[in-house]
Amino acid sequence: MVARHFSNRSFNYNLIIKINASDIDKVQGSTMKFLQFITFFTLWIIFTPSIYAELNIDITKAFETKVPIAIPQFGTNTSQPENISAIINNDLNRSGYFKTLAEEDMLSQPTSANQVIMKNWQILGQEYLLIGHVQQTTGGYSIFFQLLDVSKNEQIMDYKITSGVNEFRHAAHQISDLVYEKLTGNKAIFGTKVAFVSSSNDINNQRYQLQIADVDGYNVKTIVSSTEPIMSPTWSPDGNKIAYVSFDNYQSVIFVKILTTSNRIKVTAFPGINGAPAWSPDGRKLALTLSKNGSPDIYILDLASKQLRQLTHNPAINTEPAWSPDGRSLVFTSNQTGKPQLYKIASGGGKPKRLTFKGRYNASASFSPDGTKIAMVHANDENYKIALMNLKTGNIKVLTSGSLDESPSFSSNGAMILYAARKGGKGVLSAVSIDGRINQKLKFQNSEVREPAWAP
Amino acid sequence: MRYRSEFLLALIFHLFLILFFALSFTFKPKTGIQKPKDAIQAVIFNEADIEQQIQSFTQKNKEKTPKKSPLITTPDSASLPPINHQIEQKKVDKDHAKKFAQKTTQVKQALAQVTQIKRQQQKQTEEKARLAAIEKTKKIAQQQIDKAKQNHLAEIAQQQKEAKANRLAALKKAKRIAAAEKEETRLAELKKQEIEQEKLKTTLATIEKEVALKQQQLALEEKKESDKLIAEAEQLQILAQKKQREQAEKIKQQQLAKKIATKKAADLAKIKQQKSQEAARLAATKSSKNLEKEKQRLKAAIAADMASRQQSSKTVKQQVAIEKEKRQQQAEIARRQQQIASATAVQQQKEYAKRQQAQTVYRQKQAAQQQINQKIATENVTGVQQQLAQQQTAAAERIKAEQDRREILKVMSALSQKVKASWNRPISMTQGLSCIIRVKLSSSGQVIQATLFQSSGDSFFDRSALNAVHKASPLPIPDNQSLFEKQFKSFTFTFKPE
Repeated sequence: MVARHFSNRSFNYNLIIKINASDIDKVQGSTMKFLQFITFFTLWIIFTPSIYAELNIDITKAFETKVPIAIPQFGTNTSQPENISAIINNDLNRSGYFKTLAEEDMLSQPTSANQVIMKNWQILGQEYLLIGHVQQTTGGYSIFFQLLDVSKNEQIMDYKITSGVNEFRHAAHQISDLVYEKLTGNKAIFGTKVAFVSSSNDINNQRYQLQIADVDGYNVKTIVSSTEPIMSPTWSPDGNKIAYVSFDNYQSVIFVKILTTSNRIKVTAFPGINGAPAWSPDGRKLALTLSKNGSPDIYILDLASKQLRQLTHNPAINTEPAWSPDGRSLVFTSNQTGKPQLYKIASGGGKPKRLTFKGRYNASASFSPDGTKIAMVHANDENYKIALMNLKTGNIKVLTSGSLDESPSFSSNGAMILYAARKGGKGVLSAVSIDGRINQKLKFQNSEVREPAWAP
Repeated sequence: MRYRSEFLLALIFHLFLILFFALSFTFKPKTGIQKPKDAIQAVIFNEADIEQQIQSFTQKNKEKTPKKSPLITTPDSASLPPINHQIEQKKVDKDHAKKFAQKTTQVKQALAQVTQIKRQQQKQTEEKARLAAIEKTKKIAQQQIDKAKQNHLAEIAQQQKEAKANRLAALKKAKRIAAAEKEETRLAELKKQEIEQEKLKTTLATIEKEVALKQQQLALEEKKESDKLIAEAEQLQILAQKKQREQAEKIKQQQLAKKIATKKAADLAKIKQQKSQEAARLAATKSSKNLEKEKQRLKAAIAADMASRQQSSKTVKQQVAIEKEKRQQQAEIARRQQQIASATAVQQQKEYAKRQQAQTVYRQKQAAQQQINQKIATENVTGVQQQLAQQQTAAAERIKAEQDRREILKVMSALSQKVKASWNRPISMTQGLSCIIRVKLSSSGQVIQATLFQSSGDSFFDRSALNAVHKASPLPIPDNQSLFEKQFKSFTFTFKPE
């Protein structure tokens, strides 16, 4: 290699590069070259795609749609007390998974499988068809229904449900449950009930009512009516009792209302605060907040023996207990650090362990039925939203947008969270799915509703 | 394996370093932490001694005071002493009082000492309390530090969890990006294949063009040959015409020569006549004058004749010269024409010869090829011909394979579009679901059977995929029956949301 001085530096570089390449070729021994060849060969073998014997076509679609299902009017030989088709339509639409066909778009209204002309429904782009008819029997009704697959033109379900005279709506919800569970594979909650507190806005005659309604907003029943405020209703695990807080002569009292007998039991009436009752998963104990010893602390009351056990011993405010589904621990709100945060304590007692470290306000915990997640009220600023925390990862996901969301309550299938929000200056109840995508408002006739509790 | 010496030295150096690092663990650290010096200097009091002193003092006081203080009357000594005794006693009392005062002062001092001791005791206790308080505060501070540490550890653990979650998300993103890149490479490969196909097309087109060009050239050559033949004929005609013209000219020249000759004869005859006339005149006139005149006339006539002869000869000469020139020119022209004709004739002959040669060569080649073909036909295909045939068949196969591949891709995209359009993908809480549906088609594209080959875990999703396949029936299939039998009679759809 002759070294020459050039004014053009790039040429020098090219020379150098060439020198290096040729040098490497000389320096590399035959073994290195063989090894390189072997590695490249094996990599080539690994990474060339394997040859399928059969052709495969990929179908990719990024966006999700609501599955179209048609539910024509159910046939009947008598007058139906309720419009079953409308109830089922409403239920499946509210679930967020389905889109029901409007009645005016239907080309025919079959009531049994032999009347069905599948082409009528294929043209309309429907995937499923639910048809049925009602027969009046002594003591009630028999409802026959069939769920058909429009594309394959085959029957998926063929059922008969009997209902009493007053249980017609409930039977319709049962049909919705069966259809939803068969198609999506998830447990349905169309037939469940919710308890809430509603108040009339009349300042002169302020009345508070503890009410129970179907989850679609119908069949509202008043359980307790009082001139004193009612707070914190909570269902017992067997669904027969509701514990709530009310006032008696300016003293807060915890009551338990037995729904089957409509009797009322006064549970605690200690001086100071009596509040935030929470049923243990076995239904034998109530966790409460009492401030009889100075600052509000969590106590556990055994309902049979009336024995009271103090769980938290610190001068901060400790309230809003929530039992884990296995009954071994409780999550409660405490402001030991100055701002309300969530803490976890063993149900036998011990040292509380802090759970929430993000946000300046975390309160009102509610466990999911599988015990892996907690719904809570979460705020960084003055915007109070419902958030979901995964207990394993500690990850917090904000589900709602509202400015004053409170009282989250999980559904029994763990897929939806019921909460109270303020919309248009009124208190309303909403249900949000655990990934935050589906959000449905519950419609009630009453103006002010809050503090919902979903029945188990 | 050959390694350079520098590398080996470096390796040995590093191994030594590791060895020293390991050896360092064998050295024990220095023992003991020195206790700090006591900051508080405390005076240690022996409480037992102090109590004894106090007791001794009080006992002494008790012993002394009841004897020497007459003011303190005991209930036993009720009887009053006499006056003398009283005066004496008063003096004694005064002494005693002085002594008592002294003793009281002593007692007071002792009491003061006692109080001092008590104060010191109190101080000691206070100091102890202070120490205890300080220790308590230290304990509280330590507890708070522990709590803060625990919180800090919890926060760190949380942050680590978040970091892990972020890493997982980043990994998922990277996987998605890798999948996208893989798809892009696949698309690039498909494009490359298409480009190769186009290249083959173009080569085929160029080959065809070349063939066409050759054909055109052959046609042109043929045309040229025919044209040349026609030209030859024309030229022959021209030659003939020229020959005729030459002959005509020759005849004309002969006629001219005849005319000249007749003219000459005429002139000679005229001259003879003139001469005879002149002789006659001379004969007629014998006078010298007349003779002279006649001689002059004769001379003049002769001169005139001479002149006229000369003129005529000149004219004849000119005519002859002109005629000669004409003849020469004509001869030259004829020569040139002949030369040209000969040259052209030569050229034509050469070309003709060449053409004939080319034709003969061509015929020979054809004959040779025919012979070769005959040889091949008779001899049953040699290796070279086999290779040519193989190449041709391979080329034909490649073209067919490309066409087939294109057809398959077309049909695949049509299938995926149709099924995608009829797929109602349901909402699902889980992400990244994917299922495989196996499909069997009839010859008209109708779906005979669609089975779930691999479930996604969500029955709603699987059901929606099956419905999509059924809705899209009849599916588009290729026209080529063999292709359909091969690829599209039974195949799979993979339903992927992303």
